[in-house]
Amino acid sequence: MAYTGSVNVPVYLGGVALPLYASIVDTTEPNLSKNLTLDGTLVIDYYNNRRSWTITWNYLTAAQHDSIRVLYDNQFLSNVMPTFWIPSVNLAVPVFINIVDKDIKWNGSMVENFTIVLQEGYGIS
Amino acid sequence: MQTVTDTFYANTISKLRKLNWKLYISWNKSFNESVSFFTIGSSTIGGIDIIKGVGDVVQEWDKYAYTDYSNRVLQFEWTREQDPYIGGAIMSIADIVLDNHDDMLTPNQPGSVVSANILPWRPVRIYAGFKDEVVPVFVGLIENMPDVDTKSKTVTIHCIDFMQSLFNFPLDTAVILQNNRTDQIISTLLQLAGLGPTQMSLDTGQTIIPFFFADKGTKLGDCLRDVVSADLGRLYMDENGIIRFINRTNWLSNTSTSWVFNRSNTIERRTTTDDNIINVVEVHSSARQVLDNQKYWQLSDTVTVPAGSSVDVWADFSDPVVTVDAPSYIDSATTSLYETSSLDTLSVVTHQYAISYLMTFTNSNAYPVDITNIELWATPVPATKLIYAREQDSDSITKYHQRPQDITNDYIQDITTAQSLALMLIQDNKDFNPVRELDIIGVPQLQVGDTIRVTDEKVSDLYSVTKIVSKMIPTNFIQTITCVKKTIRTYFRIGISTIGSSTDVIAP
Repeated sequence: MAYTGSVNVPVYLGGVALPLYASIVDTTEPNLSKNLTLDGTLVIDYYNNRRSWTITWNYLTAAQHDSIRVLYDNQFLSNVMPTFWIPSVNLAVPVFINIVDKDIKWNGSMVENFTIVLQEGYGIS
Repeated sequence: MQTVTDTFYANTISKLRKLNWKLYISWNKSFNESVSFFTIGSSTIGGIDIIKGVGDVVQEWDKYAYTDYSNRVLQFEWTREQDPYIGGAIMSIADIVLDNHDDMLTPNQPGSVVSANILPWRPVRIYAGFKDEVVPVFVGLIENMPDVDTKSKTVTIHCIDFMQSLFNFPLDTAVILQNNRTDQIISTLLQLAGLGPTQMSLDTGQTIIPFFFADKGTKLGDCLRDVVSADLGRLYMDENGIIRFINRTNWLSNTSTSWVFNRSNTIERRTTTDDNIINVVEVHSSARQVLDNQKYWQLSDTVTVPAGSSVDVWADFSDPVVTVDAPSYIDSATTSLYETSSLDTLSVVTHQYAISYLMTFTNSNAYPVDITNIELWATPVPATKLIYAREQDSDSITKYHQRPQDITNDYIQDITTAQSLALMLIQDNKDFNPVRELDIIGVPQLQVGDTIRVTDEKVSDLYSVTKIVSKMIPTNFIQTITCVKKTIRTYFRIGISTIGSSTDVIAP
């Protein structure tokens, strides 16, 4: 876990400005395997690191939720990962959008505690 | 052990290793046109062109134009293994799983730029290493059509090294060599298969084969295995694609410890049930020997040579011949001759082959002439010299019971050589030499034949690596090595050893 972004930082997904969010969490995980030798030495082989961003909204309107849902569906229709762009930190990377369904709660025309996880399409060294 | 940089070595022994690999495939088998080369004979090895290198071109496989498919690799597995045949070859295979999400590697897939060339016998090169450095670990050919898994969107390709394709090469001409060393014979055979002298590195053979014969159509591998076996050497293609012949002396006297495997770099170890004990050796050979000049062939039917024309007469022999006397008109009963019914002489032009003889008779007369008899005198080389040698070590038999090993090799052509080979095999294998399997943290530069030290709680012994199975996925690189305990015996080598030295002993 690297940092928790400010709720005021504008972010874009597939060219669409995302609604103001409650939190954005940047996570970096290495692609690695652990080998334990006979004397207990840990030897780690790795190739690169992979980042992901977890974005959470406390409340979204149904229209806002639907716009994100369209982005989610489009990645499968187009076979292209959308670009996740945070201008303030000069970040623009292709990502796979995963909707954490269990956190979706309908409340009339609102969505409560909605979370998406954006996984970077390519590893970084 | 392949030579690597200090940085590569440091990365190999690091506890946190960033893996790297390269996969190159030449689907369309295109060449660098600036390289001059040509095709030998039928130019096929198992149906695939093998191109002979010339000049400063070291390896033919370098000449293919390769495309980098490293970013599609999901898994590599390559295996190098010593042929169980005594003195045999070292072969390698590779299996590669590639990402095929876009069906680019699916044969005949519309829209794929390479699908039309997704075929067997495409050249492949694999490298493995760390960070920015890699070493070659495999060079060969795709053996079969790729196995396409449409569900997981992957393709798996199985590869064999070039050595195996060379071994399947059928000789397109019979070969006779007299009094050649084993390395000279190997060089001749490999050049017949299209390799250039710079594409091989051969130790000086320690055995002279009085008469080498291989008939047309014989598989190159069958000849090479027996020739190498007669020297108790090893023949293999290294990771760079260079064919190497290591004679027995150099193979066994490799005392340089390539790597130490202990509890800190070994994941698991096992002792196999193999014991590799040989205490009785029987050598059988039906060797060829050159016989005296003798009447060897006779025409069976009359041959008519029309007026003013020529007729070819072929004499096919059952065994190879060293010399054949050209026939002359009724000359002598102790040399080749021909007779005609009309007592006319003919001009004759001859050409000798390994097991046949061509005579072209030309009749310049204005009438036909019947050849009623042809007798050819020759020095045939039949396989009539039966050699049998049996050696044993009584002490070993008492300890381990009889552990026999039969060798049948027609290139062992005298009893002294047969006895010497038997004694050397017994000397090397009469005692129990444990065979161990180690799962290790991967060492890309490790090679079959390397001498390693295996250290555990109580013992520390030298072993010789006989097999390496390497598995690499983008995030893990481990190997399983098979090794046999090694007793170093340094035999006397002319020009290298010192007379009176206590370290180098005369080979049996």
